[in-house]
Amino acid sequence: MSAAIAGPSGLTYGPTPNGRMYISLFIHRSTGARYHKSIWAAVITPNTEYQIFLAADQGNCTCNNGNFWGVLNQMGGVVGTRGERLCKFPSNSYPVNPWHGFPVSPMENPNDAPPSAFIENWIDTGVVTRTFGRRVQRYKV
Amino acid sequence: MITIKLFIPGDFEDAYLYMGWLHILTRNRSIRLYNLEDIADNIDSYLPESRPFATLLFARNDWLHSNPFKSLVKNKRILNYFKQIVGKLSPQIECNHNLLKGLYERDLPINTDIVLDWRYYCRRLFVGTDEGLYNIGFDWDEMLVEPAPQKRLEPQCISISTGFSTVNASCGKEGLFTSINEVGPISGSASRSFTQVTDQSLRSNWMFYDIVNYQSNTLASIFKTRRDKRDDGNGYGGYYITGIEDIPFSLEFLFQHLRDTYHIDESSIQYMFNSRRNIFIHTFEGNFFALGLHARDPRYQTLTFTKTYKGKGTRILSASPTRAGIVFETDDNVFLFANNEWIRLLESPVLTVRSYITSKRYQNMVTITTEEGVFIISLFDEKSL
Repeated sequence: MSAAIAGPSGLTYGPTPNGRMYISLFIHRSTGARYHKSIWAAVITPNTEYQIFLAADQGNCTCNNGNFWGVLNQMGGVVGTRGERLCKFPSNSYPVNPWHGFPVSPMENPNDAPPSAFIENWIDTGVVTRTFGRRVQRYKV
Repeated sequence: MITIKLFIPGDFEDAYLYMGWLHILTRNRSIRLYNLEDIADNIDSYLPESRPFATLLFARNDWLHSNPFKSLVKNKRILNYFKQIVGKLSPQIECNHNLLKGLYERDLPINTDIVLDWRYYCRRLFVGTDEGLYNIGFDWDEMLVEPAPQKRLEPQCISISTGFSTVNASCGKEGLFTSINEVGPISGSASRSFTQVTDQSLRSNWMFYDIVNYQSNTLASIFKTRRDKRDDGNGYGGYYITGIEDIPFSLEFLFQHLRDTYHIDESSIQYMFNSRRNIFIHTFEGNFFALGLHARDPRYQTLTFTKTYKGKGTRILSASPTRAGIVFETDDNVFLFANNEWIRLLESPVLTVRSYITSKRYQNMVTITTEEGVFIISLFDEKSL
């Protein structure tokens, strides 16, 4: 993985094998503004954050809304400071801009939930365990 | 607190206790039906020294909490014998093939891979799926699932609640839909159809006769209902809902109370749920608040009490009430909170947890489904004797 380039908003990585650039934004880190922003857990370093995005990018883990989704591991390890276990990389309308992401909890905000069929595919292909997948589908994550 | 588990290994999605049967939804989308009395009788035969406790614990748990049983154990010899036998029972009994004879297996006649919730109500099965809500008839004499399901709602149905002749379907961003008149004969121009109550719902529950809708796990509002009492001489008694108010009550006054009294900010709330009379709030800091609401206050503005408890310091994913206490599902465990004590029931992430507080027979039982199988857990507070 090539080294990240530091900028005023965050650390930029990439390109991925699919040509996408990624930025780990400071506003989603403990050093950034907390107000209304979810914060990556301390164990999710910017490098780890990018690795999660890379896996989503390479696995084409995108839903029909154009969002990419990622997890730390099959069991849905904690990625956010409030116990979030799902990563959302919202649809990027302008390819010239780098992608970014943040931890989400569908049980806190139901708008941050991937479609059930998308999660079913994750279960079938072993990206997540059936238990974690069902929890996502039932908004218990 | 005595907790005895029955474990049935298998590749399952969910389990439900209803009308004397254990209903298991398999991964192959069939419903496997085991008669609880047969299972209990087989266990009692297998463990004759502890007969009839399998029957008391799993098939007729209501007898353990009945007045005749309580009168019986006032005799100290009988009480000591009871405690001796229960003490000898293994905390977990694994059901092998020999103990599970006499099952039925029926295909679930719905063409979907994703069952999000299911609930039996008044002898019918309601199934919430990613492709809508279905209503399936059951021939309880022949133990047959009727082959023609009725699709009642189009949007994805995440969870179902029932009561007072009403079925509530939570459809996420599509909203909360409710059908009244689901029980008994349809009178006049009433028809069994769902109408949208509000535009966002993850789950719902009853508070007195009103509906608490949870737009998220930390945001809720109450929809007051109108009701009437049915007594038509055909066996359909009790209250039934006749209408639902359009404008909900917000629970802002509860949050104000938490702010003023305990300095708790709304952003600290991790999970909310309710019982018939109380609202429960769990915070990220690991505190638990029970707030009692006054039955006669039409605007739910009067708190009858506030109690605080120490939580387990972990996220709550679901709360299922039993008469013995509340069963909490967390990320990695299932706990029973009873008598101000946290008792671990299972040390594992689970697929589903179900309790049956409105059931006469199963109000002290829980079914938990994991990827390894189904646990049926009988709860008994020996201090109640």
